[in-house]
Order: sequence, then structure tokens, then C-alpha cells
Amino acid sequence: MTTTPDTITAYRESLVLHLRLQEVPPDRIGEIVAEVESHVADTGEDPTEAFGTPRDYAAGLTDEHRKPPWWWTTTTLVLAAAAGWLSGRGAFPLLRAEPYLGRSGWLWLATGLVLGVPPAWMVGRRARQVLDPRTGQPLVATPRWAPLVFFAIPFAIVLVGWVAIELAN
Amino acid sequence: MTEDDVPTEWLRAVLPLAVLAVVAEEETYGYAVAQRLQAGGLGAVKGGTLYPVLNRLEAEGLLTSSWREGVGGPGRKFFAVTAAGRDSLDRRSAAWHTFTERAGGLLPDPRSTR
Repeated sequence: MTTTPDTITAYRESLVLHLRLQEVPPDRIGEIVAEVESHVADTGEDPTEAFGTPRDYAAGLTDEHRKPPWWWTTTTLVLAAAAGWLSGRGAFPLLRAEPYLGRSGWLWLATGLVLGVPPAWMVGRRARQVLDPRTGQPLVATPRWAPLVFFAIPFAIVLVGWVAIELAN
Repeated sequence: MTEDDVPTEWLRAVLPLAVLAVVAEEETYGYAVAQRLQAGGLGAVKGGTLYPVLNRLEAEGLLTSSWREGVGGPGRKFFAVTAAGRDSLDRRSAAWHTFTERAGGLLPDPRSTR
């Protein structure tokens, strides 16, 4: 079997994805991928031949990297949902210049943003870029606009809701 | 089954100790460890088997690793034994020899009984 740079790139991208799904920390992902590439550069083997499919290799490393417990993910989701709901609850009264349940929109918005800090930190930690330990450069290019989308979606929902309410009035 | 054809469970049992022994001989990298194991008669060990073993030994504090630039090629991850690794190798090797001698004592030896 011939090993082309395309084979290596495809294997790298797939392995990063499957290790991400196993919630392996980004610095470990960089190490694991660099080991594979360094090894097949020495042997001239096809990566799948030497390490198995990316899915199987990533799955085989699970005893080394335990996934975070289910309550960790649940807590993140519940906090993120509460933060999103409270921020939206605050943004509407602010845009419409009226209080919600007798409280200023600023209070709801601030509570939402404070609650959003822990889940944003947890997600950010898992979503860090994977760096190649050999070069210190990112292993897989992430578009610069990717983090923006994360914030743009809730913002767009509030905006669309507000526009809809204004038009209905 | 020929003499060289050993069950994979046996290999799995001895591989961490054998890898530790190879790295203890001299600081080395993955592919060179695989070549040394093959030259030692343990057969071809795939990368997918070898690196998890190396990483587990490192996680246990028996090895350390560092990336070095290759000559005109990509970087290589070099592994070196720690003091704890050398200590563990001595103790586990002694235990392994005791174990194989006892197991050998229970088994018939076709070479001596024809």
C-alpha cells in the first residue's frame, strides 16, 4: 500500500475528530497524533495498517483517558441553558425598555452572564486548539469565525424575537 | 504451532516489561523499540500496540519523553527510563523469572523427554 500525504492528512483529521468525541484533552490529542505520524514516517507504513482505523485506535485509548462523568456534562448543559434563558429574559425587557417581573432587564442579563461563566470555561477548555508538539502549530486549522458563531446564535435569536414583537405591535 | 508462534496473551503480558527493558538499555524512540523487540524474537509489534504501552509506562512515572527534531525529517519522541522505572524493571524482571521458572516446572519439556 502506498502512503501519500493525503492519506496522512485524512487519517490525522479523522483521528483528531474521534479523540475529540472521546473527550481526550487537546494536549494529549496532539501527542497521540504526532506519535502516529512520526512512526509511519519511520516505517513507511499506511497509518491504518500500523494503528488500525482512527475510530478503533481512539476507542482503544479509552482506558487511558476516562470520559468525564455524565453529571459533568449535564451540569454544563443545565448551567448553559439557564444562562441563555436568563440572558434572553434580560435582553428582551432592555430592548423594549420595560422591566420583567418587576426587575430591571440589566439584573436578569447580569445573572445570566455570571451563570454562563462556568459552562463557557468548561466548553472552552475542551474546545482548545490541538497543537502539534513537534512544531507548536495547530494540527487542524479552525476557521477564525468559529468562536463568533458560538455567541452569534443566541444573539441572533434575541434579535429576531425582538423584531418579531416590534412588527406585531 | 511452532516454537516461534506464541499466543498474543503471552505477548501482551510481557510487552510492558520488555519495552521498559529496551528503553532502559538506552534512550530511544518508538520505531527503534519496535525493531529491537523484533530482533529480540518477539515478532513485529504494531504502532497501535506499542504507543499505548509506552504512554502507560510514562503515565506510571517509569519513563519520560521529549520531542526532538529529526535530521531533515519529522520530529521523534524519545523515551528515557526514570529511577523509578529502573527500580520497577529490576523488581518485575526478578518476579517474571521466578514466575516462568515455576510455570516451566509444571510443564513437560519436549526437548528433554524426546
